[in-house]
Amino acid sequence: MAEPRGEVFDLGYRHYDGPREGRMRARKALWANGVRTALGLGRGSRAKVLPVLFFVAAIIPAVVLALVASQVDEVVGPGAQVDIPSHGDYYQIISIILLLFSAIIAPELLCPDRREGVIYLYLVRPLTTTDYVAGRWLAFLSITLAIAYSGQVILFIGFVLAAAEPFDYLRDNWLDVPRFLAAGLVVALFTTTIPLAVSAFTTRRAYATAFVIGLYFISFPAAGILTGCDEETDQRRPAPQVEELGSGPCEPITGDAAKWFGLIDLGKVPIHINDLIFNEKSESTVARLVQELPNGVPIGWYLFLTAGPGVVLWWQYRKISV
Amino acid sequence: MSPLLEAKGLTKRYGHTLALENIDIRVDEGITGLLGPNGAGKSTAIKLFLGLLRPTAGSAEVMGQRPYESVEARGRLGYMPEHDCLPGAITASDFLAHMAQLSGIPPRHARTRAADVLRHVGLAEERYRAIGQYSTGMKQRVKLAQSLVHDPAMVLLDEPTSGLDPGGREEMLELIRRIGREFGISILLSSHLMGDVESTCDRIIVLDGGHVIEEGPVSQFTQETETLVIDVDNNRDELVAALATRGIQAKLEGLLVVVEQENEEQFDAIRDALVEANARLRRMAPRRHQLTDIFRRSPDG
Amino acid sequence: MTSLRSAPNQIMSEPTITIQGASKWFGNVVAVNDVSLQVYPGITGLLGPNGAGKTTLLHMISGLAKPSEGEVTVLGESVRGNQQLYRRIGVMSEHEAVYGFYTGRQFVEFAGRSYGLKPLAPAVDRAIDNVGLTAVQDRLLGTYSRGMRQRMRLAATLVHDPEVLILDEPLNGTDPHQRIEFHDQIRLLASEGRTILISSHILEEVETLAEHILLMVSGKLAAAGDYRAIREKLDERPYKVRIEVSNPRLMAEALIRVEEVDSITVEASGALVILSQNIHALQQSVPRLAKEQGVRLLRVEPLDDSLESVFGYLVER
Repeated sequence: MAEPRGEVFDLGYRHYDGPREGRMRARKALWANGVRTALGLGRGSRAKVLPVLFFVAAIIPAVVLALVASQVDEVVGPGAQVDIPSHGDYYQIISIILLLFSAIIAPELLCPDRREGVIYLYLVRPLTTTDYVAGRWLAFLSITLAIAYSGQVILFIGFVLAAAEPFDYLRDNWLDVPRFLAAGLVVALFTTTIPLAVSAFTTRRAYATAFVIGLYFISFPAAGILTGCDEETDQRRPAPQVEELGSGPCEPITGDAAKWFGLIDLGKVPIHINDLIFNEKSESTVARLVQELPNGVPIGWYLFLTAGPGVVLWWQYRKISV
Repeated sequence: MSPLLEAKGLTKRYGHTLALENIDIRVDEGITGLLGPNGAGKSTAIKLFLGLLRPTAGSAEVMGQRPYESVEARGRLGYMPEHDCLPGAITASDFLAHMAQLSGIPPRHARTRAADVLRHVGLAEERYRAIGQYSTGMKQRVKLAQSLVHDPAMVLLDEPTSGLDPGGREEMLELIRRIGREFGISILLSSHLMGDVESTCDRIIVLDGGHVIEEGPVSQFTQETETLVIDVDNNRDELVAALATRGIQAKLEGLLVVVEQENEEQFDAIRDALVEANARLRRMAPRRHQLTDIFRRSPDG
Repeated sequence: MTSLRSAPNQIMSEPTITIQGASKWFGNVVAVNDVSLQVYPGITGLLGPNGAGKTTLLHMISGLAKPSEGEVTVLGESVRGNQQLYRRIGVMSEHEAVYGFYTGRQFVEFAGRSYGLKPLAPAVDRAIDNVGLTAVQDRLLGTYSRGMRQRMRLAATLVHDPEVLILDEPLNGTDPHQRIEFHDQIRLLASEGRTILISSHILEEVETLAEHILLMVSGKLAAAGDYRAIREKLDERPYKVRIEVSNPRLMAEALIRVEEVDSITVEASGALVILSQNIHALQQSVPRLAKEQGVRLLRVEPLDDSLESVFGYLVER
């Protein structure tokens, strides 16, 4: 008969002798944690509702546009000259969704860390504030890109399948792929950076969200008024007569100034760049006005509005100390 | 080998305020207490060692590295802040695994480290609940656990018993003693409670007004005095009288009988006086110096 | 720990606070459960783990919470809705609600005005002088150190010269200097004949400061009175004492013949650790046996009668 055997194991503290991978691991973890936070993973189911809603809201237009494209031939007959929706149109439609999505979700990546004080635990680990901010920023950019590209891929596949000759379509339109990749990046960089920069100034998510949405929504009618554009009638209102305004320092808004005022509508800034990338005439009257300006102007304005908040964000976190 | 923490001629100035002036500190293995009134420079010193501040002059080194020059020096340090610093929405387990990864530990190991460390600080099944639902004592344990999850050589604990009730406080102190003695992780403990320091620390460093005013083993500050305190439950006056007939001048301090020690023979007289007075002897021991005395002696401000 | 304990008031005066069968519940949560107690002039420490009902009890005494059942009397009058009585009680709550944009003096004036003090200025002068902050009274509270703020809050609590002071965790977050100052302050106020009820988590503090103790455990009063008396009441629990003598073996032999001694351990240092169920017998036997054996008695230290261990015993029993 075998001897009865028994063992007692030491469950005391053990030192860690596994690998230590340094800052690169920290950066990856920051990115992954940012993605999880934005999507509400690892938290209650309520945290996942908004991200899912936004994702669905962004995909539906792609599906609808793809369906429309596939039905065009049957409805109006082949070869008819109709304005079928394009990849550029899709960004115009979902840019409002992305703007709202980032205004509402992006502050979640920065504000709670400072409100709850978790940031101090980050800053005493072997990483810099730049690592932290860059990790959060990249995480949110990744999610925005994922949403934007998902829709475009659906749309592209839809177009290919709807085409009478899918291979001809691919040959003629393959350039749309790098275009929508580039244009998606343009939109995502813009929508990601501004709300994150704003979040660096408040510990309350709601304030950051309200501020960013306010910014977009005020700039939209402001641009409309100042340019004299009316999006509903798709026309510029006639310039007011001097007599109507009475004499005084007030000058009627001229066409040239209106083009510049068109830049005020912040929500459309990435769309101007996309119009260049897709080489399209925009649907929007304000955007068409801006297109009359030299290309460098909207590009410079876009770069300023993306890099500027980026630097502000970085700088604001540099100043943080425990 | 370089000491765990070493400050040489360390000076930190904020505008016109001199927070630390040319201090030299050396912290080796074991549990070291960092004491001092508010504004003495304790938190400035801690921030310098964590690399969150840059010295105005001199140096602050962690195991031979300057944390304000290379963030890697923080890799083997842990820090438990006094203030709130925990996310409410996620579980302790997820949080610790994330913190471990931030210190460079790969995800697979980070998970098991998180589970082990949470077990060692006494959090078991709670670790899968959101931290926001924890009691003060449990949160305090999570704060401690996150400072240990990457197995540092040294942890800096800032007022770890703050807000705990006596039971919670005793458990936390016991945990700190175990970390220092069993886990083999050295500790720099900053506390306002002399009881905490006395019961856990091997050595203390006392700062005041940006200078090191005292330094040494705790025992040096809690030495016994020549005053013998006799605590009896009855017949105090009889005891004082019985001592007086044996030539011993005893004083009553409240309910305690106090005798200045002169020689060993005195103990026989005291013993006999106790028997004569028929007193119930609860305690008889020399009075000790107390750590608090350091702050009684040093000038205010 | 040896400590200087101030002499209790030898004259047993009338209780200033009397609680008779008081309970307080919030829905299903019973915060205070049938508590009866008296508090006398001098310093009384209120102890208990978190959630034991200390703050609720203090609120009932200061009129901030109405007992669901039972009666609370302060200075011989019922607290319930007794506006006049509130002017004789000073309350300093645990949580700091201090406005940084007030100067210290304005803050105390504000408190004084809420009691309708007239004339205000002398009362404010006296209260601020009492806490020794006259020199800084015109600085903004926001610029004070935590200890100074706590003292200014104490001044605001004292502005109407209350006979009864209720202090809920007044020393949270203060540094050693500030603690010493605050202690001196409280002792001074007590020496003027006031009743001071002070809750604290720091047992050493209560041990050095308070003459009387109230211990709450899960809404019940677990112990009350002089700490030494409470300790003696617990003397039926096993009692461990460590003694040092000139001849430990001889002393151990003598001790083991004493019926009340359960066990004796000889430490490496030669000290004896005696375990007994009957503390009184042991307390008297030790000097007598030492004398009989001609052994010099050098040191006697009980190992489990600190406030901490008494507290632990009462909370867990």
